[in-house]
Amino acid sequence: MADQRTRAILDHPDFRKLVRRRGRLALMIALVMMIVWFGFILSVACKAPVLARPLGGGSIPVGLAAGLGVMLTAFGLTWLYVRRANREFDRLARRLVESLPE
Amino acid sequence: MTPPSFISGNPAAMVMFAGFVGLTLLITWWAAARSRSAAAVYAADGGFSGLHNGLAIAGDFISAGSFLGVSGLIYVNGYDGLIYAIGWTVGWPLVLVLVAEPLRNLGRYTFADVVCYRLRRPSVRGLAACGTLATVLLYLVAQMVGAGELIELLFGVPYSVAVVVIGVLMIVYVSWGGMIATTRVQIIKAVLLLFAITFMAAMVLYRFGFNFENLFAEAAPVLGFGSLLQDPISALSLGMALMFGTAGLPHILMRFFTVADARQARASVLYATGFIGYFYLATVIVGFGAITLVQARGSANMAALHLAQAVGGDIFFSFVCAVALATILAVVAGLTLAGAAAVSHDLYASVLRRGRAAEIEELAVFKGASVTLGIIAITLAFAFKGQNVAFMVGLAFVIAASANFPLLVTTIYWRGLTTRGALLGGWLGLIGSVVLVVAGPTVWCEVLGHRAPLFPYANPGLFSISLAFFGLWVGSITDHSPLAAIEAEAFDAQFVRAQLGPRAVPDSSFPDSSFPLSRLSSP
Repeated sequence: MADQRTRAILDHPDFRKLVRRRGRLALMIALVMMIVWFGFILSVACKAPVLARPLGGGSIPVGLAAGLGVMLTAFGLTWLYVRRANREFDRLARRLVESLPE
Repeated sequence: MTPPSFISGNPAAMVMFAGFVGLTLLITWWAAARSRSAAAVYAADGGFSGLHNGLAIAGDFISAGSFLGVSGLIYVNGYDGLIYAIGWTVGWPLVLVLVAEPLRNLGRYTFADVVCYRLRRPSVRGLAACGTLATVLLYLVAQMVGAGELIELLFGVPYSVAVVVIGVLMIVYVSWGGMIATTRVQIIKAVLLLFAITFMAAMVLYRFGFNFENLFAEAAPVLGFGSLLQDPISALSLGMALMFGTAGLPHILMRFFTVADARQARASVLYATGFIGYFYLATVIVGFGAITLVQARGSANMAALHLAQAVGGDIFFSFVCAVALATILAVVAGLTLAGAAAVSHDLYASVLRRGRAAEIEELAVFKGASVTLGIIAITLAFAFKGQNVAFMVGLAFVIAASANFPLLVTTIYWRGLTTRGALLGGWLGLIGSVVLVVAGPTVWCEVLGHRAPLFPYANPGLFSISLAFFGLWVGSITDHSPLAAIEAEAFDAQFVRAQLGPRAVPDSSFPDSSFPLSRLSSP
């Protein structure tokens, strides 16, 4: 069902560039988030005593600091994607759509 | 500090809650006049900004159960609460990079619209609607039972009265005010809840001189491990259900249709992640504060409320009680809306009437469906009174992660997915998660009273999600039907539109009526 317009977009160098860049970033973010999260939860299941130890010489447990790190990672990754999408992907997409014949 | 006594009546909280109800009913009345079209009722005409929708997502997502539950779990089990607080945050980057933009670009009102963009058989839409209804109903019943018990405890109002009041209010919001009113209720609730938790966390930190070391010096020795994560398989299963379930909750997915375009959908997730992450972070502090500041060891779910009393006095305690009620109300309204839309838009208009129903007819069905769902929820809340329903929220997440999420991502990203694959994988995920949860220790032993579980893990996520993806794959690669070829061909247009939006691939180039059913000799 790929009509001419769809075909033209699929073959457009800008579209390929957009898909490649966005796909790479999305994959990277999804993988980092999964590794961090499953790494954290598996270490809670397997290495609980280590996580209960205080961090450095203070009183904050390692597990808690790591947990906060996981949450900050989630927000950081979200922010990273939105920033690049707003600055780069949207511009590429707009230029591409505007260059198409109606 | 003396443990607070929950005086029967709690008049200050009643007044505040009445204020919330009055305001939201006014909004519903205002929204009703603007809810004359399907686009308004299901998607608020796409008129919300990223910030508003982000707040509404947070409002939809943070239930009273998680607010009271996470702080309570930390209070009692330490790490168990932390796991949930984090688990409900880590799904959002995936929602953002995998589904938010394609959802906005491909769908109109429900996530089934997206699944059926090229898989147009009514059977696929029926499957997506069943996934929606299963998730929504389980979640709804758990919320209603929790609400009834909480209100009984806090206000001294009988359980049955509480359940009926909550049920009727949610029906009113949804059936009259549609998505416009429901979204505004979510926004108000989110702001109130964020304010309450900020005040509580700040007061806890104030008591410890804004020094985390001091707080944890007292709290950390008590920090323990619950029974949540005993082995790597349980940990992975729960982790997968929390992470992927977030990306498969129909009432959350539906929120992406209330903004104008993919850019706003993206912004919604950023705001939502910020608010939700911040909220659970503050809840963790509140949980630790409860360990040190609340002496009345008892019901874990009351830890946050005891703390509110301890740090803010009676008036603030009443305020938090009222906010907890508003929270419940907003969540059940969002769920009912998603469920009613699945009935009217997916089951009635698309499956039963094959897209030939008039809009006014569909909207009448929507109203009927929201009333019916409300009555079902009230009835089930009566049936499950006093029973352990905590497993229902877990099951709702597992179904969302095992049926809705795999179906949605494969249809968006995999050209090879066919109708047969979607049906096999979707049903395997849905039925598999229900069967495994029922056979597992929570339901089989704790609810049904058997000695040993048939399936050893409380959370079957790892197995049911894998089963779903396996079904999607096997069903598709063995499908050599003419329909499969047409569906693969249609992937190109879907892919371009998912990337660029309707401006690049308008609806007209993909007419509903003629494709692809008309190209097949038999329907």
